[in-house]
Amino acid sequence: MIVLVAVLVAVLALAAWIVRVAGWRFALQRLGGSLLIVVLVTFATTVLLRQVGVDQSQKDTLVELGLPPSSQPCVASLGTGADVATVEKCVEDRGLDKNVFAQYAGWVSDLLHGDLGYAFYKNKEPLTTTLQQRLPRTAWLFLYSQITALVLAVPLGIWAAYQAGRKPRRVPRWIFPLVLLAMLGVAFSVGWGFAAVMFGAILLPIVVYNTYRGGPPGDTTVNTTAFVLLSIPVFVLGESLRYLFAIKRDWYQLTGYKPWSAGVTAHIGSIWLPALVLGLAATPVYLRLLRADMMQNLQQDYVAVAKAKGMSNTHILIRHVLRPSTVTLLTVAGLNIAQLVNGAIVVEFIYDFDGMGSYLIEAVARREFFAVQTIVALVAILFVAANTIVDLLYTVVDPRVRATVSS
Amino acid sequence: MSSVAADMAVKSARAHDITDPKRPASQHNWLFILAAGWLIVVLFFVVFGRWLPFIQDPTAKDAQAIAQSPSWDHWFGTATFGQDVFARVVEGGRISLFVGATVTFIGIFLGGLLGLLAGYLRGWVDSLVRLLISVTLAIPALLLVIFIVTIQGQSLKNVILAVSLLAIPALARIVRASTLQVADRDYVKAAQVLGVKKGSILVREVLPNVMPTLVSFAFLTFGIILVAESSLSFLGLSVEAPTITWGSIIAEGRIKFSDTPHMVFLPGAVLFLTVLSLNFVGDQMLKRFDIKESGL
Amino acid sequence: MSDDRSNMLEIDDLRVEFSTAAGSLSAVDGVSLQLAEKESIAIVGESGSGKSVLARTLIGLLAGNGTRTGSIRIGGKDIDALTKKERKHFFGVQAAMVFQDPMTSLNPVKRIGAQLTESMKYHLDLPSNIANDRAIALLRQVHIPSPERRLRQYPHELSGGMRQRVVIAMALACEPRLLIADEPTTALDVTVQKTILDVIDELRAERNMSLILITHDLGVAEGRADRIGVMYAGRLMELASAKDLFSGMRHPYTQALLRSIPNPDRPSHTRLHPIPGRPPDLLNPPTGCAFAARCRHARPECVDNKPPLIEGSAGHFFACHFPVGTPEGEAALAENMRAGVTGAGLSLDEAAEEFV
Repeated sequence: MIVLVAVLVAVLALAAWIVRVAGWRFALQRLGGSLLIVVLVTFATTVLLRQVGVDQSQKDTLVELGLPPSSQPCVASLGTGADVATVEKCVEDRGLDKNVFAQYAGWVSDLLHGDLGYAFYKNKEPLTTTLQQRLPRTAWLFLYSQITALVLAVPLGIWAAYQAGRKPRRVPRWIFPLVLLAMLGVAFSVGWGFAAVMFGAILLPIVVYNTYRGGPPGDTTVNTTAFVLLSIPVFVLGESLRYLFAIKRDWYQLTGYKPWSAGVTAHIGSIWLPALVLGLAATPVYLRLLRADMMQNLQQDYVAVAKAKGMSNTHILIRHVLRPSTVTLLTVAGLNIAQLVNGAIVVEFIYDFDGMGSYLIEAVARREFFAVQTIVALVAILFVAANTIVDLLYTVVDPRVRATVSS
Repeated sequence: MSSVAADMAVKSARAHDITDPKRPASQHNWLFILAAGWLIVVLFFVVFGRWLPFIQDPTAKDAQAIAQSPSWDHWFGTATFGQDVFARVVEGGRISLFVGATVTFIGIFLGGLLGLLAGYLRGWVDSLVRLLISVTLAIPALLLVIFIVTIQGQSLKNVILAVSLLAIPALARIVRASTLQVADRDYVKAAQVLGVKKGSILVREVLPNVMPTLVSFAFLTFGIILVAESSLSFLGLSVEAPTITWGSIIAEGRIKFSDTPHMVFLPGAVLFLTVLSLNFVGDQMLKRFDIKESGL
Repeated sequence: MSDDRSNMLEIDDLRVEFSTAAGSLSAVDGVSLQLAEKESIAIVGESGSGKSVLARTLIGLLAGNGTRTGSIRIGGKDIDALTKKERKHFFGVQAAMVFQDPMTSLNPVKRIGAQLTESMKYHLDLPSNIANDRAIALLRQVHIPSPERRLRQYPHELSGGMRQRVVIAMALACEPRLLIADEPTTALDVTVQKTILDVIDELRAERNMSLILITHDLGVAEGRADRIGVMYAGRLMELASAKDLFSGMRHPYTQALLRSIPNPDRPSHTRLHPIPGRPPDLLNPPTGCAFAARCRHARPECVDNKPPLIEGSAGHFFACHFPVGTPEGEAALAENMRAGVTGAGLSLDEAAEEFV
């Protein structure tokens, strides 16, 4: 309860601040737009839900059982063993016997009353309980992964952008065969281990690209590594690190999430690897964007002015260039929440991490359509809300936007 | 998902001009050939794999060779029931690449059309397309695909349909932005002033200028779709077994990970290198063809 | 200027080259210059003459692909011989610069106050409240109304003229002894130009600063600088006190510049004479005088030999084989007129001149 009040107060404070900075009209306009999107998305999930397996043969089976064809989602969710009465009750509960608008209205009204429904398979455990239990885990995972990503991407991005302005130097070509030889040596001495294969698959393109690109080495290396990292699918990365840290070594135990109350080491120990994987997946996106933006801003006249004022490079990079460059980063961080959700589904599956992502996969596997629909809708709401906040924060970061908005 | 990736690709491509405006992107020819070469090799194996004599039957079980590491007989080792993993990777590529190619094609065609019309005609068409884009992008991609695939059933058709729903708005967004840019050019305005018909301007003036960006993004999209499909089949939500996909081989290998790491890492490496090549080719094309105001 | 130690700025044989894809480009080609304390000098030249590169080089801003040779001494200190510690608080304190475009010179996302005080805090280690007070005083000195309020504003809330005043105030924050103003009025409305130049003049007098005023406009230089240097293709063509230059210019380029700008003192309907041709390609600079191809005085000698910068009369330097107002120069011009073509092959047809 206290947490809820605290969150509410924080949200209200944020809203008040944004309204003060950006003005009512702008804030309302954005909120209205977001609300429309939320309504359309959730409505779309309701429509989609009614499409569950409605081919003719299944309809015929239902009619034989004396059930309306629209009860298919219930039948699928309850399993084929359910008796007719249970199915009928489910159909009535979920409003499947009504038209789609009535069904949607019912769903919204339930939602506003705090009733998110339940999944059948866990003794009808209400979804709110599940959320209470699992949402914090995923939230921690998100938080840690974003911290990891920003801690890696921001300094490296700044550094790379700074290096990019320096004289281009070509990495000598003889390094290429040398690294190849060294890698072959490693491979032969350690054995054709798969870690070595992965190592090679990552390093080789870096070396090749670096050798032939011939830009400023610091920038090229960082940028190329980011490019390569970007091309590794999250699940391949996740499995590789699981192999390295949880199977070959026992640095990470696949024992599931432990809360803060279990102690800091236990908590971090139970979450660091999935967070690292998610973080590494987001890092190259942030890094390349920040680098590109910073490079563009470093060309601006005010940078020359600051240099002429005798300000140090660090001062210029951090105090002058970073802030205008974070505008895009901020938007992308907002949009990237979607990517994060995608990643969380995969990563939680890989590491048996019992958060929302793995719950979703479970629910899908058990054909719990109603639970899945609600989760999809909730994620969409969260996502739109986050992006609206980011949109409004924009005005706070960049005073010029504020000016155009308020005028 | 692709909206972020797309923004980043464009930005990075433009940043390249800042690092070194005088160095043409064509200096990367060597690497470009390497990347394109890899794609051609993969395509060759996947298309003609079934007729190549040295590729074994991907479904033939062999009790004598269960979960073996790579060897001359089995380049990528063997699977849990002794099937040849290399053959499975070649076979699995059929679905993965087919989905990737089909979806990219659909995305380019429909997304391109929507983006072109929205960016050129503006007005209510634009508003509608923009709303469509925002609504679709408001649901995390994988979540949407999972939702659709579970509801509609895990068939090839449904996977393609669901993944297309991601590709279309993402590409429409890119094409719309690039059309807006082109439509603002003087030669387009000149054509309008001369009274050339809208459709004709669209086809003769706007489309050819949007095309290079679109083609560059086709490669990037292909990579993204490939990863999306593989993730889906990795989670067991793509085309149902016994159909083989790259994701499903990895999913099978991860169960007894310490016995069959080659089933995870080798298909993983193939997938990674393919995505890397697609990204690289797309990136280079974007750098070369991106419409720059300075270049006019 | 006879005593080296009283010189604020000494440039000796400064050369700046840029490496480009098309080859090496010589932007500043052997410029030597002394500037006494409290003295002001205007550097005049067309775009591409290297005057802005010169200014930027003086303040230590050289692009990554540029290389510099020759020495620069500011306040008696060779800028290459500075220790790391000295260098940290050198530029911005000893010398400061005002840039061309006030619309882009200020960081759009930082408040005016923060941009004004940051160098004071950084170089002079002033606490915030004192730096703020000084910032207000500075804004007052550049005649910005209600300075307290401005500190909290963002650049986009100010007009171009106001911004340039802020930029000037910013340059003066650490009380530099040398101010370099790189075309400070070019990007401004004509109506604002004069007031900005007046502000610079006023502050220079108040603070006993030395000033280098870079401009493409001889009219701006007139009356605002003790001495004027005329630059062309990276070289100083003529350097003299303002009075000497206007009354007795020696270099044909200076003359051509003057003939090409309108002058209210001259009778109305006086024809303006554009300079024929274009500036030389700096990637392939001519062996002889860079101006030869466009010069009415040019003789074959000019095409072959680069004239050195010599002191014709006390304090009046010029680099020309056939200077204006000398017997040699007049003879060369007369010879060229007779032939109808200069020694460098420029046609001297009046009609041709008119339409170039």
